[in-house]
Amino acid sequence: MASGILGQSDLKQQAFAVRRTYFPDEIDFYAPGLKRYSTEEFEQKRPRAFLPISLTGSSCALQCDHCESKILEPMISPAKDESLFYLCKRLSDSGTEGVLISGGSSPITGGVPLLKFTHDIARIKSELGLRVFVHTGLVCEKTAAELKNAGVDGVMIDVIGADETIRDVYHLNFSVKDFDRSLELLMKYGHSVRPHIILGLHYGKFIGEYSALEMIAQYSVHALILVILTPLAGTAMQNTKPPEVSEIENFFQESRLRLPRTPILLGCARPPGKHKEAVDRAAVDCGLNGIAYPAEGIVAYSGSKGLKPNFHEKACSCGC
Amino acid sequence: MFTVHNYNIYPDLFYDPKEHFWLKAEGKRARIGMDPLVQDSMGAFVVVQLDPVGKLMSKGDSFGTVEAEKYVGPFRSPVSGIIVAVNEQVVQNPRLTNAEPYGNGWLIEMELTDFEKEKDGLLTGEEPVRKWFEHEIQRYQEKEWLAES
Repeated sequence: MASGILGQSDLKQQAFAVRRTYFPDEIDFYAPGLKRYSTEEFEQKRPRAFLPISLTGSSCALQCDHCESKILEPMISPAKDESLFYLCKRLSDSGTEGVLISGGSSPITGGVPLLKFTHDIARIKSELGLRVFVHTGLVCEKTAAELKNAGVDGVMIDVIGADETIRDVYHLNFSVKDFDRSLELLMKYGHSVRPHIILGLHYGKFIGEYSALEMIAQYSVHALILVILTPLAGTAMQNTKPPEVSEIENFFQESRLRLPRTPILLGCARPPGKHKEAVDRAAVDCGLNGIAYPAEGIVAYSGSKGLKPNFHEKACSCGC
Repeated sequence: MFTVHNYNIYPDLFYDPKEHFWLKAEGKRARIGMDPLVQDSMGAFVVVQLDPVGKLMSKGDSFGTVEAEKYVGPFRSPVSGIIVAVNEQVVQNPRLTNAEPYGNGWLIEMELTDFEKEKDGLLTGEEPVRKWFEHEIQRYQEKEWLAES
């Protein structure tokens, strides 16, 4: 690891210093239209500017222990007999400028079934002019190639660094090597890759996160998105204790030092309340470049650290 | 009770016209929950975090946060006081607030510290509440907060 034998306070300062070396003194805050959002510091004005779409509705065959399709439920889906293109046309006509395309994954491929939609995606790009970002899951070479041909603006993939998490949480018969291979393929085809690491994914414990970070560090990804296990009611992890803020902070520091020139963002999925306030503060202290749906007071806090805030009404992984 | 566009309204409750909380005040104590219109606009509640018993708050202070299908943000107290009870059922099952907004879906109970002054900023009684609610439904519809996505 990059941390060596420095104390925690030193590491935090070092991480922030790295940020100041390689990035301007600005921090980006994101509030996409996935949810209405309002604090004293940041209020959405155009919540329909950037919207999430699920290609599979609220269905997912994997039923991962931390999600069980809950994350898909608020997403927009094509109506019965409506194509993805016409859904996007409808959204575009009402002011939407970009979409994040996601959905449930197949246990056979480990990925979102995107191949049958690449033609529509190409039309969305060429005829509607929308920005299109895609959450892929595992990809094969054909998917990586066709998404590139379709003109997607960026791809997201959850990177898992432990075989037991892939097996026990995602219920997939794949390995860490398959996630590495997917990253390799996406990079091979010239995608703008924005991998995600879910901290505490394995029932609140850190198991494969540092391995995932190391895997990602082998590639020139566009940005790294860090999210945190959020126990959701009605899932197998509803009573799981999220990871401690101190562990999360350690990971923020390590990520910053390991990827000094890569934008690192704190994504929207993280436990609410006091935990979120502390994590958001840690994200600023450790030199992360942006935060989605920041807790109240974090904009002012980042100002106190000499960072000028920028506000975006799009997903962090799609706005950087 | 009366209804406005299929939303139940109780004229004996106090309603916060800004944050859409209802208050059932009994002496110096009040039970607080969210009205069904604002919950409809937020979608199903996914995570509810409530601050602990004993917290002293001024009107407008946050007493917790909610992540719902279509909303993320704080709960801002409609009145000043001390939290004396927290509904743990809602923390364990956030969708209870959607299912029973006036019943088991309450959020907190407070010991009120300035209610005589602060109640002037709240609405109660059929006529004022009906008028406000009709206006709010229209406003929410214009903002597409109630429209099918």
